[in-house]
Amino acid sequence: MATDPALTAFLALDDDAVAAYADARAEAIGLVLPPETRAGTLENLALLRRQAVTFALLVDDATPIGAFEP
Amino acid sequence: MSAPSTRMDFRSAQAVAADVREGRTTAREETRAALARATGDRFNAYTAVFAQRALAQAEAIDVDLAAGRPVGPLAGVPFAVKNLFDVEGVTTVAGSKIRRDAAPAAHDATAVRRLTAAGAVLTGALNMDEFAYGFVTENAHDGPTRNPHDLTRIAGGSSGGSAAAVAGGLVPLTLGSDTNGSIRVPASLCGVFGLKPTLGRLSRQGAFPFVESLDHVGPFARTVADLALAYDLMQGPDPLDPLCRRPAEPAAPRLQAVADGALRVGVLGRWFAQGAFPEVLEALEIVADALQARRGVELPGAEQARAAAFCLTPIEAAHLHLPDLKARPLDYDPAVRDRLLAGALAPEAVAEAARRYRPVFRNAARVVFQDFDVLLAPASVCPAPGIGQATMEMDGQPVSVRRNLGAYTQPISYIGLPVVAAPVNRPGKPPIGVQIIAPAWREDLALAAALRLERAGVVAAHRPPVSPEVKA
Repeated sequence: MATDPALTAFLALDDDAVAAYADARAEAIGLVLPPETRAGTLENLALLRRQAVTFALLVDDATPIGAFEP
Repeated sequence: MSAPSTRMDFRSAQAVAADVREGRTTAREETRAALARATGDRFNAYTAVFAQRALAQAEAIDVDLAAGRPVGPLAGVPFAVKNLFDVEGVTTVAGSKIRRDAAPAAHDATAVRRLTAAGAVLTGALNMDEFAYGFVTENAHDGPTRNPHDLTRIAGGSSGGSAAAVAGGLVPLTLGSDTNGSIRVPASLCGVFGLKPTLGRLSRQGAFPFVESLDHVGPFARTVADLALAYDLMQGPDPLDPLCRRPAEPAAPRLQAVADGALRVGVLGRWFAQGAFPEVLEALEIVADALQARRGVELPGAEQARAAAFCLTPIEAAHLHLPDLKARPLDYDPAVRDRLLAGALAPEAVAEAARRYRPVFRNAARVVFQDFDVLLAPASVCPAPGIGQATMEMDGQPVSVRRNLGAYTQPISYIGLPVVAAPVNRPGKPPIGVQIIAPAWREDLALAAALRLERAGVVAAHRPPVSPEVKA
C-alpha cells in the first residue's frame, strides 16, 4: 500500500495538472526548463506517471529495499 | 607492402585466431585489414579508430608467436567496443557531446582489459544512443548507425554500432551494454548473436554508467561459440565492481553436452506477444517448433515490470546527470534530454516503488522456471524500422518507435536474468531475433539452447547484401 505523500500526490495527478506539478518540482530542485525542453519533458513526465500507476500501488512502501539479487 | 583489403570479413573470431596461431596470416595483417574496414565503414558503426594501439598490440602478438611463446585464445582477433567503455588514453564520450572535454581514461575497462589479455586486438569505439538511453542509435552528435542489411534502416540501440560492426563484417566480436535491451534489440535488428548475462556476472567497471542498478555489459558475435568464449574470458570477480563477486563458471567447455541434453522450453505469452509484428511471431514459432516448446507460458506481472523499469530508468539516471541538466541541458541529445528532465522531476518514491516491485517479479519468474530450463520471447516487436521513423503500428495503433522497441526486453533485464539474443534463420528476409532467457546464473542453458538451434540451422547470422545502396 502506497502511503508516501509525494508518491500518492503524483499518482493522483491528471495529465492537465502535470505542468503545474513540474513547475513546482523544478523550482524545488533548482532546475530550469528551457523553452525547447518544456513540451517534451511534460509529455515524458505524464507518461512516467501513467506507467507508475500500474505498479506503484502494488507494493507496500513500508517494505525495506534491500540489495537486489537476480 | 600492399594495401589491406577493405572487404567485409565474416570469419568467426575463433577462425581468425586459428589462422593467426597456425601461421596462415599474422596478427598484423588481420589488424591492418580490420583498420582498413573501420576506415571505410559504411554503417557509421565506428566513432573512433585506435590504429596505433592496435598495430602495437598486433606486432607484440606476432613477436610472441615467432618466439614460440604462448598467446591467448583470441590472439590477433580484432574487436571493438561501444564508446562508453574506458580505453586508456581516450576520452569516454558515451555517445554524448557533454563528455567530449572530459579527461582521457586512465585505464581500460575491466572487460576490455580481459579481452585484450586474451589476445584480442582493440580496433576502435562504436556508436550508441547518447548515454545508452535509447533503442535506435540515431545519435544527434554522431549520426545514425545504419543497418548492414538495409542501409535505410536503423541498427537498433543503444549498442547499435556494436551490432552493426559484427553484422557488417567489420570485426567478428564487439562489446555493448544492456540496461533495458540495448544488446538484445540491436542484435535482433542486425541479425547477430548477443549475450546479456546475469546482472553482476560481468564487471561493469570502466563502463560509463547509465542506470547502475540495471546496467549489464556483454558481447556480440556471429556464432554461439564465439559468444560463449568471449563471455568466459570476461568472467570472474572484480573488486572494482561491487556487484561482480561470483567466481568464473566457464560455459564453453560444457555447451555441447548441455545442448545434447534435455531442455524444457516454454514460450512466454500475454505481454510478450502483444503488439508483435506477424513476422516476429512467425520467427518465434520457427524456434519454438525446433525446441518443442510449450506455448503460452504466463509470467505474471510482466507488464508492471516493464513499467517499473521504464520509470526507474530516467529517475535513477537523472541523479547522475542533474548537474549537467541544470548547467547545459541544450548540449544533450533532445531525445535523451527530455526523458532525463522528466526523471529529475518525478518523485524519488516512484523509483523506490520500482525497486520494491523488483523482488516481487523476480519471485514470479523463479516460480515459472521451476517448470522450464529456458523461456523464449521475441527480442523486438518488429524488424528494423527506417532511419528517422518516429512511429509504427502495434495492434493497429500508431505508437512511438523509441518507446516500444524494448517492450519485450525491459521486464527481463529488470530482474537481471541472462539472455541470448539469437538471429532466426530467415534467408532473404529482414533480421529478427528471439530472446532465449535462462534462470539467474545459468547462461550456459541459454547458450546451449542457442547452440542446439545453430547446429540445426534454425538460427544463424546472415551476411548482409554485398553492395547495399544508401537511399536515405
